Amino acid sequence: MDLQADILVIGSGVAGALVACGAARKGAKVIIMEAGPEVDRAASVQQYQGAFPKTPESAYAQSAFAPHPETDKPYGFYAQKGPHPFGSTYLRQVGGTTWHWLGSAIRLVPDDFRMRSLFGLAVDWPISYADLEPWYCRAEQELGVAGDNADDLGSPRSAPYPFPPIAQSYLDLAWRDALQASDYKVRPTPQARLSKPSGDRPSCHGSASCIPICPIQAKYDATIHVARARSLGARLLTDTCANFVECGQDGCVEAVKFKRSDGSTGRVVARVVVIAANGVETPRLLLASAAEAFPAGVANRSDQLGRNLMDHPIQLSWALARRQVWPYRGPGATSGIENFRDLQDRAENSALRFEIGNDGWSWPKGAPESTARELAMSGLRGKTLDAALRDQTSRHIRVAALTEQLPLASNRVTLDSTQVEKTGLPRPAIFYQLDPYIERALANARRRHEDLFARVGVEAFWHKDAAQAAGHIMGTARMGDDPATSVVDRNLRAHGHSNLFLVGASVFPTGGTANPTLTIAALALRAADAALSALKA
Amino acid sequence: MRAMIHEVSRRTLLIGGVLAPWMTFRAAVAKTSPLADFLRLSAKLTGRARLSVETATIYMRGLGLDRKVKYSDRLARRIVADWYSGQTVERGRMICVDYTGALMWDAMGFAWPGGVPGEAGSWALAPTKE
Repeated sequence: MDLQADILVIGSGVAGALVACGAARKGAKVIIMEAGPEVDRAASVQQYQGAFPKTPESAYAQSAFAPHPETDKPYGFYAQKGPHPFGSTYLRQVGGTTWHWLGSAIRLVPDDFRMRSLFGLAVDWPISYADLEPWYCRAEQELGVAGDNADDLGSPRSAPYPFPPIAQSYLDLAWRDALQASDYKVRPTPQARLSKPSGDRPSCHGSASCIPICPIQAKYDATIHVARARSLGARLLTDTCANFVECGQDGCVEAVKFKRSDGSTGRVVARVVVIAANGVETPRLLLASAAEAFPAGVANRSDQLGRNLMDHPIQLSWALARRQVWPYRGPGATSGIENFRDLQDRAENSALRFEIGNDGWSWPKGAPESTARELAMSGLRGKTLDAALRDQTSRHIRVAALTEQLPLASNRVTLDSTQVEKTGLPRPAIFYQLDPYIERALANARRRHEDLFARVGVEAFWHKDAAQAAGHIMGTARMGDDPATSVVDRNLRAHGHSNLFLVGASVFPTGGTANPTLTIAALALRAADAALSALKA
Repeated sequence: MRAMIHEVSRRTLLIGGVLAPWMTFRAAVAKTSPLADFLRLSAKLTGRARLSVETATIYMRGLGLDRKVKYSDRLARRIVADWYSGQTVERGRMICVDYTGALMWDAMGFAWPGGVPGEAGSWALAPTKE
């Protein structure tokens, strides 16, 4: 039997949850469709603690029905077709990937929206920073962002942060003091984790496991808005995967077919459909919905759907500081260096965002466990071992530079129809490569990291040879005014499909260097208004 | 689980190079179970008296101590490495056995296992044990 709704939201991550919550608040009949299950937080914390390696996905059960990609198995989920395996992952479960996001809630800077006009690269966004600024403010309210109002991060603000800043770590302050006289300005990072209790959520207690899970939900995750939407009447369908979007000849979406984990199938007939999957799952569903009238897939008359896949390829470097800085405590990162995100040489050199980690060498080396093993295997015992372990781990530092990957049409998500998942969706195939702009950015970041380490004072340092994935999957359904070169319009309505909206980082024309979640949220809130207007129409 | 430490010969011990402490230990536990032997050896090597029996069972398996092995300095180092890291190698793959109970946390003294809430804002200060 068909289900009926005013608005069907596919995906329950931050974008889908915000749209669903906003629509339900306005009285719309909302269905949220989520391919994965609800998550038991306590069980997930336990799973994370028992996991090796401790990857971002390690807290969560892999699903036979709707599996997710895994960091340590890059060829397991994706059909990798390019010279570089695409390493960014996501979760398919209620709340989506906000379960294992870091919580950094950073705005883009104004120039990020004008890469073509200012630097002759890629494309401009069809909207400006000023257009999005009020929505950033709303997004910060919704996500409970903690930040320092006195700090200028290059993104002008019209409203204060809703929460006072999260304390910078002792380690951050060591970096800040060491870099005081340099061009590197260490700033507290705006974060969607509570700096004081709110509602039934406690403030951050430094559980040091933001990735993959906050045990006390001090860090925002989208289950908060899913729960609010449900309390306002929205219906949540879990373990229910959309696998075909049915369109009429006029392009209007008439229904969405789905399959459940028990094998049953059905359709949802909705007046407005919002696809809020992610940069892989959104094009995957739409490409899989090819029909006679839409042979290249739904919302793909431009042939741009699935193209322009971007991440923020990361140069990861780590060092042994001369002085003790006491890492492995607090949120994963509480500070960054933001003043290299908006330099004027971006035509040649990528912007860089330096994230200072509180997590010691856990990302590059799996420390402190690996350090404990190494010292023990060297023959140290007893008090000598304890002292060496304390001394070394207390001096572990790392920095990660996020680079701006430009959109390349060849970097794309397609379908590998030879392998079909239990949901009925073909396996996503990905062609991914790093261009000279990024290779130069990574080399530049290595040089900068060495300069940083020299100023901080280190005994030794190391670089990862290969770019690390940031988990920021952007750009596969780009926003633009021209239907010939983009997938959605400035309100995130799919060109040629008047009742279909795509929300999430897939719509980013370019990616800047800001962690994308706050921008995803701002755009989703903005699109929710447009979707509600479509409902009235 | 078969006896394993019991099978260590005096010659192996001499080759292994641990010598006196181990020999004393062996004499004291010769008539106890392999698990008890392992726990007492672990206590000796790590300097920690209270060790988890459940964890010890998994480390024994990971270390191959459920079959005949020769004691060696390398084995002793592995035992210490496992207890400190909370990990062991089982069938060629590293596994996590006891993350929160790993001895490294006690040794470090300034950090605690991920997923365990601490005190709000404490990360902004140097640890009190500094």
